[in-house]
Amino acid sequence: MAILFDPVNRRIVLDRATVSAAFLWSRWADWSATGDNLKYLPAFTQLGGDPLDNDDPLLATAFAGSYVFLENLWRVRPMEMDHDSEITGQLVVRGGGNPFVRTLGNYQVNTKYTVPVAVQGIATGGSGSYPTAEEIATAVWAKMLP
Amino acid sequence: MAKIISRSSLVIGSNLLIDEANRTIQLVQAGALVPKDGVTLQALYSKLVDLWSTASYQDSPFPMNTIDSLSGQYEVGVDAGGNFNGWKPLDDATRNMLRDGGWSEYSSVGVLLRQYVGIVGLGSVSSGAQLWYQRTTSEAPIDFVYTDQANQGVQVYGNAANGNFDYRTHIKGYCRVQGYKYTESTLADTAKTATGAFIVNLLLSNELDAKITANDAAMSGAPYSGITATYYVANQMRTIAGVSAPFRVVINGNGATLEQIYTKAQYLLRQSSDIDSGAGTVTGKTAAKLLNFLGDTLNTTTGVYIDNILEADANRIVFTDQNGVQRTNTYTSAGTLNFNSNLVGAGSSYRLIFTTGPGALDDYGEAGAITVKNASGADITGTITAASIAFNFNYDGDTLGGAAGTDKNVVLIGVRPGYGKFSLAEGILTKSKTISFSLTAEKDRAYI
Repeated sequence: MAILFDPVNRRIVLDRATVSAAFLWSRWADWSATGDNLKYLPAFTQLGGDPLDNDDPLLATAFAGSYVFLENLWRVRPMEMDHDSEITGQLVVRGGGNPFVRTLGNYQVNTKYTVPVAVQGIATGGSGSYPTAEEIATAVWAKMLP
Repeated sequence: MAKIISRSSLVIGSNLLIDEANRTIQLVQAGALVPKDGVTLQALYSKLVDLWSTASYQDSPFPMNTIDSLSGQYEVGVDAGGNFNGWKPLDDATRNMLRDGGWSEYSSVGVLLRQYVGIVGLGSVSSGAQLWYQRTTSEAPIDFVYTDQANQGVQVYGNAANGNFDYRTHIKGYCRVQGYKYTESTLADTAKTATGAFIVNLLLSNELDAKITANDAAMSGAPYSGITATYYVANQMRTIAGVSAPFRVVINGNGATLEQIYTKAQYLLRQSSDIDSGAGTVTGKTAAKLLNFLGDTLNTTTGVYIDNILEADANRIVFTDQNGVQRTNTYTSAGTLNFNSNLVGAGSSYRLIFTTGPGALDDYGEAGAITVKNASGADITGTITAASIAFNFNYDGDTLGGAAGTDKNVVLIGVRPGYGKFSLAEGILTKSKTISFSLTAEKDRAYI
């Protein structure tokens, strides 16, 4: 059994309960390089993973956070069975949305989505309804910790 | 010195020797007479008239007759009254010094012994050019006695005692000099149908040939040594733009440029030996021309085809088949696919795909997406083995991606798992030999 890429329906069908975003990205890269699969629209793009500072001992093994984006309406579909699924890494959908779709059959799948700490910028100002930097700071200070 | 055109330059006992006893006339190099430059028949005739106006020569019959000096018609051994007397040039050295005319030589009883046509080339030839001629279509080539432009009596008739031949229905001159364009000329060029004792002009000239790429010394090395010509009796069929056409001479281009092929073909046409790489025998110097350039386009002569030419040259050549029909290859576009280092190596893959297909569900991204085929019909895809991969495309013939002979949008896609991310570049297949698509992939740092 292997992860199945269904380019016609744009589904990545898992064959295991636990999988990482990097693993999905890698298997798709392998798949795209075989046969005539390059003719299909790409399932992913990927950002990050660059070494932060190789000269600083504290950061020698540190890398920028890696993000894997699902593109072109590709989505991940869990195994066709009742199970607890765990996805690690930053797997997001370009433009927003749920990376996962339901199984074809009537199964219960509990998905645990483990996202590592990563540095993220927050857009402020501009013409959209973004919070200001001061509003963000106030909200952080006002946050009640459990 | 120069050609003697005045009787005053001929001096008895110096460059003109008259033997009344044996009735011979001899020209020798002396004074103003240089053998290569020679003396006109009219000047010689005039000198003889002067001599025979003196008592010392009047005891001998007059040696020759001028029928018409303008057309160069002379007779030797007969006077103006038609009285044959057997006077003649002493030797061929004398005959070879006669210019601007043809002549007949008669015996004392009026038998035609020899006849010479006065071959006078029209046009300018390069200094030192060695021209040659052929009196029958099968005769071995004969060099004119002197280099530079031709002006010489060529024997076209000889009775049994003087060669025993009659070659008065054909003459062909050749001007083929290394580094110069070739010319050749026949009777028909001046609206004549036969030779005889008169002037025949041949249109022989040359000019520098910018398409000659090497000198003769290079012909024994690559790629020239592998460029050969094979002559056939039967038609050799070759397919051009989808049409099978007959040819009788096939040149092996040996993967050389058209200029190199042309250079070798021109070299072959100056050889005295057999240039046919096949079973037949074709003497190079008298073989018909094979190729000629019009601008940068190479044209073959009737029935000549070239195998093994460069892809880049496929659309600057015009073939003329055995039936005289000109044929050209469909336009084959050509170019290179360029990849950055992240994409080059084992495990990589590239593919060139039409952005949109002519049918349903055959656009890029769809299951029926169409991979572009090269001019040989193979998909343009494979492992990225080098930073630059050449490709070609049947621009005029391809209908997979739409109407033939039109520009077509394509996408070039490449990936090398673990090294180079999936990447894509858009482009247009145009009617060009220098198409370039470049694909630059980021390093793949996320692959596990």
